[in-house]
Amino acid sequence: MNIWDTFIITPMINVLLTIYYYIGSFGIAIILFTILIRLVTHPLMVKQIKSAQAMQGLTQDKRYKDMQAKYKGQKEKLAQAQMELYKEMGVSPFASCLPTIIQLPIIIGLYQSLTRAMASTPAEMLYLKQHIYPGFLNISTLIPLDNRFLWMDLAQPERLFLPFIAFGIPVMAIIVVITSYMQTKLTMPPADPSNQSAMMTNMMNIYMPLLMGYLAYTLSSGLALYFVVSNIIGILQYAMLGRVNWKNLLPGQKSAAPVKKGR
Amino acid sequence: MKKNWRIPILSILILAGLLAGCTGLPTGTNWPGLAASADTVYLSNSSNVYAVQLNNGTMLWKYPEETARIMFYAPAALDGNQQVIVGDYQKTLYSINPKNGTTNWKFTQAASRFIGAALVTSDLIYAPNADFSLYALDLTGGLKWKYTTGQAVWTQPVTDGEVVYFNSLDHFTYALKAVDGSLVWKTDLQGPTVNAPVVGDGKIYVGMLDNGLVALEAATGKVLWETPTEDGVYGTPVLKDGKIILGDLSGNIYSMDAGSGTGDWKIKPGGLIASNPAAFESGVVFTTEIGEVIAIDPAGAILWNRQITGQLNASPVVSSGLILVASFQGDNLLTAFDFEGAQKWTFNPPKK
Repeated sequence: MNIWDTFIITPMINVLLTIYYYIGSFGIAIILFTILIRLVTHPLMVKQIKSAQAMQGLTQDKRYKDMQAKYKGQKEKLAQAQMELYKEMGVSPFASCLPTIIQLPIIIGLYQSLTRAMASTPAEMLYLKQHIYPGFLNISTLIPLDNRFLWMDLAQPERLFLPFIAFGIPVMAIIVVITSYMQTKLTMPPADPSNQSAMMTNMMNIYMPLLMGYLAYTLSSGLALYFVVSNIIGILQYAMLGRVNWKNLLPGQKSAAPVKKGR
Repeated sequence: MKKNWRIPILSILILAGLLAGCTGLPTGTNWPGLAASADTVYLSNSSNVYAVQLNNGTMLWKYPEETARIMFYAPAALDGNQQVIVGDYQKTLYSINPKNGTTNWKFTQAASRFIGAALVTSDLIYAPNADFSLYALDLTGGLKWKYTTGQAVWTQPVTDGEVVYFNSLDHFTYALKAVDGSLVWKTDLQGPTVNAPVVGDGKIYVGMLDNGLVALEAATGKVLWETPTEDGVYGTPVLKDGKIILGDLSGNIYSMDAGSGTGDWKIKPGGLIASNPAAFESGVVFTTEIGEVIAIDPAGAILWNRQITGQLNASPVVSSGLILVASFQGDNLLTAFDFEGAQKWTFNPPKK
């Protein structure tokens, strides 16, 4: 077993299966496990949001805008001046990246532990068996997992078949696209539409939900469920911090600054 | 401005790559599946089934000829020289002409993957599917009956001619009338099994994932005896000369008396055993996850031990004096040994 498996995947699989063991529904276990992981990483996310907010405030500072104009075309001098301003304002440009970097293996581990726990082939079942802590969980009652949840087989791509429609509707993929779009739209910081970062943000707003929707359409519905729950929790986390603006969802609205709760 | 689109696209691709990566086993895949007639080996691996000449390892054909979005890992089943029956990881069972690799017919009424091999008798094909059902088809692919269990059916059924026996992941062994699929009996094994039952001497033998071997009375399904093993039994045991021989996930190999389950001998010659052992004239051959091919005689003495690259969790097959071994992530996809352990040839699919 490699380090990644030992320290990330295996503990996560065992926590997920423990939840399943007591709840009896793998769908509910995925929801609770996703909430648990998001709660554990919540302090990191708060730090990331606050750092990003500080950086954003700095870019609105007059001195920052002045130096952009002054050193236009002089990248080295601009970078040097920016670093001095960061120092003076007590802002680290890397502070918002670090929590993201720490969260990334956890998010990937969460995704992979879900995939592994669903074990839809003999090779995956062997992997799962080898990653259950001996004596911790009773495999006699645990295997196989009951992958059925609502109308879905969580180990298979989801389609809802209705008697009056000839094809299956990918309901979860549609929900993933909608919630991913809502999350990016609600939580992306406001930016000047004339600059490059705003254009990139707009592209991410379009491409990311489509990519997530495609993954939900083609991969197992257990992952689609995870994407939906993760998106909703993400929106709620931002909302709790007063970092969402629901008006951003209305058509024709330009990205507005979030309504900040008094705190 | 021209480069603007590259950064978000690149970020998305990196994220997708990270989500898909980091562990060795791609999701939804399995080890190769092997089957052999007297002159041809059929290898199911990834998007193709390969027909390989048994005497020299030359590829005869691959199915499908053109690239398609199909995945094959279930071992093929052979209807004499008439058809090769193999299911894919979507939900289709194919009949392939063994002479030229063309499609005879397709059965598309299942709802999930074909993970285990089908069983072909003189008049019916019994195909297990992960949609919880065992399908019985006539030899032209027409559905005769299906029987639905409480969980996925992953392994090949067996028959004594009158009754079809199979295991489901729902912890039960089922006995159905071969002709119409009516239930004769079903027995709760009280634990999971991922291998096929073995039928012989009026008994059904089942290796358990939560350790042990269970023997059932073939006529009634009554549990006759249970013999514990140190670790889970993943591969289907082999019945040879009144002995049940099996391996476990700790690498132990056991010989038990087929009548009473009494332990005969136990050895631990190598790594984890997840594959079915295969009997040959001098003994039984096992393959291990760490690439060992181990031949033992009926008394438990090691005849020879060969090491090749890759994981050998796919079950070996024996045909026409050769032992065929399919490797997962090894240098060669298929390796043939003679009964003395000499490597005869290797096979890899032609590069596209």
